[in-house]
Amino acid sequence: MNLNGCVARGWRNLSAHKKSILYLYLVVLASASLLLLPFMETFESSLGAGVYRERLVTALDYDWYQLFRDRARGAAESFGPWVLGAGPFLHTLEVLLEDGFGKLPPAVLGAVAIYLLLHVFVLSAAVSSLHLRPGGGSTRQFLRNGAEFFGRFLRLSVLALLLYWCLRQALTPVDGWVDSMSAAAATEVTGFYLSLARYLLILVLILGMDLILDYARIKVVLEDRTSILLAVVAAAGFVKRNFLGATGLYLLLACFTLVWAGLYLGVDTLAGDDSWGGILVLFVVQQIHMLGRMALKLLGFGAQIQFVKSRDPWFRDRDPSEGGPGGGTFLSPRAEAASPSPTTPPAAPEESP
Amino acid sequence: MRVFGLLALWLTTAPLPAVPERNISYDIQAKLDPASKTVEAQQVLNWRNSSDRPVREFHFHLYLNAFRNNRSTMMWELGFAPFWRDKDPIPEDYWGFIDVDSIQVEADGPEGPTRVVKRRFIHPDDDNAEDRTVLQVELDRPLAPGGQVRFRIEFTSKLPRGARRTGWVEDYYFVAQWFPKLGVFADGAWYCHQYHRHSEYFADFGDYEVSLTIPSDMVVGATGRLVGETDNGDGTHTHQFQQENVHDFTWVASTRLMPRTRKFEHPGLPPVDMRLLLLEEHEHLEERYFRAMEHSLRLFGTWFGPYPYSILTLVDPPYNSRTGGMEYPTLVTGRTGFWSPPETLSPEGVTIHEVAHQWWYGLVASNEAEEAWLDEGITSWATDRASREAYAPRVHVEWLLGEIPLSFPSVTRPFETRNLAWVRRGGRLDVMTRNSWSFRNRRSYFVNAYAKPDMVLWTLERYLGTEVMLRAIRTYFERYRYRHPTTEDFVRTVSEVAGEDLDWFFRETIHSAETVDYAVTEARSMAIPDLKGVPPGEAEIVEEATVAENASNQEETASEKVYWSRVVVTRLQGGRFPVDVVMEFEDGKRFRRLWDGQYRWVRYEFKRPSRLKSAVVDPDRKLLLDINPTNNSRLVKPPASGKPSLATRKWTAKWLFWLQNLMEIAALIS
Repeated sequence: MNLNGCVARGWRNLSAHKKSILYLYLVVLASASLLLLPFMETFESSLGAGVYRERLVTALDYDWYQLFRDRARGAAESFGPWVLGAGPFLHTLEVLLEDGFGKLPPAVLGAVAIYLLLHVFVLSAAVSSLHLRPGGGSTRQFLRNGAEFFGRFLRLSVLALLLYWCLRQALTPVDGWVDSMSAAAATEVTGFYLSLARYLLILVLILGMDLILDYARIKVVLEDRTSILLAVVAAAGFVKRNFLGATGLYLLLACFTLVWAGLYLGVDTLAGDDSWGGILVLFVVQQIHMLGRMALKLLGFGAQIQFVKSRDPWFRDRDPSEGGPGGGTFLSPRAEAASPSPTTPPAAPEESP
Repeated sequence: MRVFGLLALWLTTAPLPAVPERNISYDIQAKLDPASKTVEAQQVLNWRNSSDRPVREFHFHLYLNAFRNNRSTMMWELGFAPFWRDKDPIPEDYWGFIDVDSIQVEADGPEGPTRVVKRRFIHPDDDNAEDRTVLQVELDRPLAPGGQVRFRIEFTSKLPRGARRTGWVEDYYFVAQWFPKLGVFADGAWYCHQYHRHSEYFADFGDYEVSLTIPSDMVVGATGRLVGETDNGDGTHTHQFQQENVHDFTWVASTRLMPRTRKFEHPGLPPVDMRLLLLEEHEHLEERYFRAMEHSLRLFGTWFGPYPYSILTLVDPPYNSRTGGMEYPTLVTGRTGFWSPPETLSPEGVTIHEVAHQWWYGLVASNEAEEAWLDEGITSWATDRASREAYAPRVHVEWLLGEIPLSFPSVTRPFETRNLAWVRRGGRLDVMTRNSWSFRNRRSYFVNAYAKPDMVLWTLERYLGTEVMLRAIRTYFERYRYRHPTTEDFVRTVSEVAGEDLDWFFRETIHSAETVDYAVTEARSMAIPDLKGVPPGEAEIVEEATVAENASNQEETASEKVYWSRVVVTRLQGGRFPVDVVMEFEDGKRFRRLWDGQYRWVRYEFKRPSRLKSAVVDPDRKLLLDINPTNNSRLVKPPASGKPSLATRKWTAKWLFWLQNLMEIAALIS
């Protein structure tokens, strides 16, 4: 199966799991909304009782913003012009590349932590459902799947954070080297390109880590692995063996995300947002964008699951779209041998079509 | 008042005061040795005692000794860390110094001094015996008033590695504060302060003739005009520069600089040769550099007075040279990066600022060590005015990853309030008129030398009106160019031109460390209820007015409904200014009252057939020093309780989206 086929099949699979997209979206909306009231309260009081209440409707008044920046506490400290236009994408990317999480207000960090926890749960439920229940399932089944894999996904997330921390530590000498090379350079151009190269390296490493961890999650589900470390090793091995396909698929999905972001920017520029209706439209457009991002994320997992199955001989011979005695569910040979469960009846290889 | 009016008329019609006679001249022959980063020079200094007292001791600035070791006064003030980032180690080749190898003296008359009897380093500002930035030279006999003395000085200057406005980096040599420079003798004393972390310069106007011998492959720029060039046949050239009536001499030499020239011409202003020494990596910024110079020469020439010199050299300094953004007579340095789209106003902002210094540092030349605001403050205000004229509106730019400019066209930054946030943050630390090294900290120096004076002058302009303000500043410039005026001269001149005593204004600004914040703290309106209880009968109760203005706030009306409205304006900070208060009613009527702003608050009450709609203090925003403009107005109809405003919802939606993106990006690493 080629990459397009993986994506197409992943899409078909995902279409049976629309609720997963919704759950994932609701998690990001709910987590962000935790800070909504304190933020609004701070913002509202900063406007005073006079003309700035109207002035701020049309544009971000810079005098007001400077005052706000000086006085805001808590989550509102994170407000700035970067909420405009492409800012939400680029500024958050900057936070990631510069390891700027530590500079964020604790309230924002707390909300992010809560999001990550919930996200891990919903993602574990969604990914396992994509595999175990290709035809869809009830919310109860979704939650049960989540409960089953949450622990392992959580350990993977902790491992990811640990890897990110190690990555930053490992890059400290690189940072120092770039700084000293830039300082010693005759022109700022050298420093500029060195700095960009450093950020590019960080980005590539983070994306590479994400790629491997995606496959580790898939391996955990597909092969019912309990050892996180072995899952990561297996995923790394898989990516290594299928380097072009795995990275190609990842980049293809990244491109979808970029196109989706580009579409959002186009619509955002057109949307007038200085009236109640305009603000409502803006909010709806933003949330549709987030919903789309969640769909793309799950599409990625769906396509990667198909990719793994298409590259693994054992899975390749058991195409879920063809149905079969397994009722469209699969466990790895090791998992089958270990603990066949009533919900996943064993299916002998020779019985497969 | 009439006296002030007549004085103002006289000031605007009077001819320009004559240029005062110079009492000093420098003739220097210097040779740059790139290998050792040194300049060896011989200097002949002529000085005439224009005071009414005999002078036996002479004080010289040896600025480069601030970089001699880490015990100089400047290094103490820097916390022994000369770089912005404290962690950066000090390289071995960082240090620089100036050694006076010999001083000989001769006088014109037979009664004058004949020899130096004592040389010692003094430290008039602190007790740092290790500071060698001021040299005291004692002669055998005093120089009588009107007498002339000639010093022949041989010295060696070792240039530091790119350090605070001077030094070398790679093959770029920016040679500033490099020669023994005589202090200013006035009122029977020498004004010759040590070289401090923040202080800049102060010297007599004089004539300079300087010969610079440097490697032939280097491009040279310097104060003044090139009047001769000789090929020495040994791989060096000698360049002769000359400039009259300046108070410093600075030069630059490098193989990396590319000379570009253009002529500035504008009706009513003298032509100026503009010379740009540009780096290759900034070649695409040439046009923008020149345009910024042209804007500056045109606007400042028109507003304040013509630029009197025939040449202006702008140096585009290399990265890490730490010589960017500085002003010297007829020579300034810009500062920019290779990726600087127009909305960053780089190099324009710095260029305009440094060229503006030509008027205030270069020509008016107040004592920067003691009253830095007279240069930096007026220059900041002039910079903002010119930038607004030439480049408004300015859009907000964020530097992504510290390298990539990301502009936000919908967010514009007014030039007039560029420094307001700094006043809010540090306006109460000090008063503006302190010695540069006496400010509480670096922030306070910046606030009181740059930011607050900038806001003070913008506020003054709004009080006086642009026409009067420009006339006042022009008069100050014309009257005091080449004369080292003080704060009192400035205050007196502005008052005279404005035709009113502005002492109150300057008392609250220049001489005060209070900030200003007026707020409408109450605005309410309610229908007067029908009479209940015992009627007053014939004896009419007269409402007691809380302020005199209220006498005119009551209207006879046939209408049944009468509303009682009340507005309270409060002075929240110590600064006191007269302010306008405007109250607008729902029937469209507006009432404007002038409050002297002295007491903590004022109350206005109205009985009118219409409900009060809003109240605004300082509606024309004259008082730009007001640190919190958001509390200057109040709408009577409060927002529906508990319901956020449209603005809040809009920006919350945008922030929420940013936060969602942040969460998603965090998910990449978990």
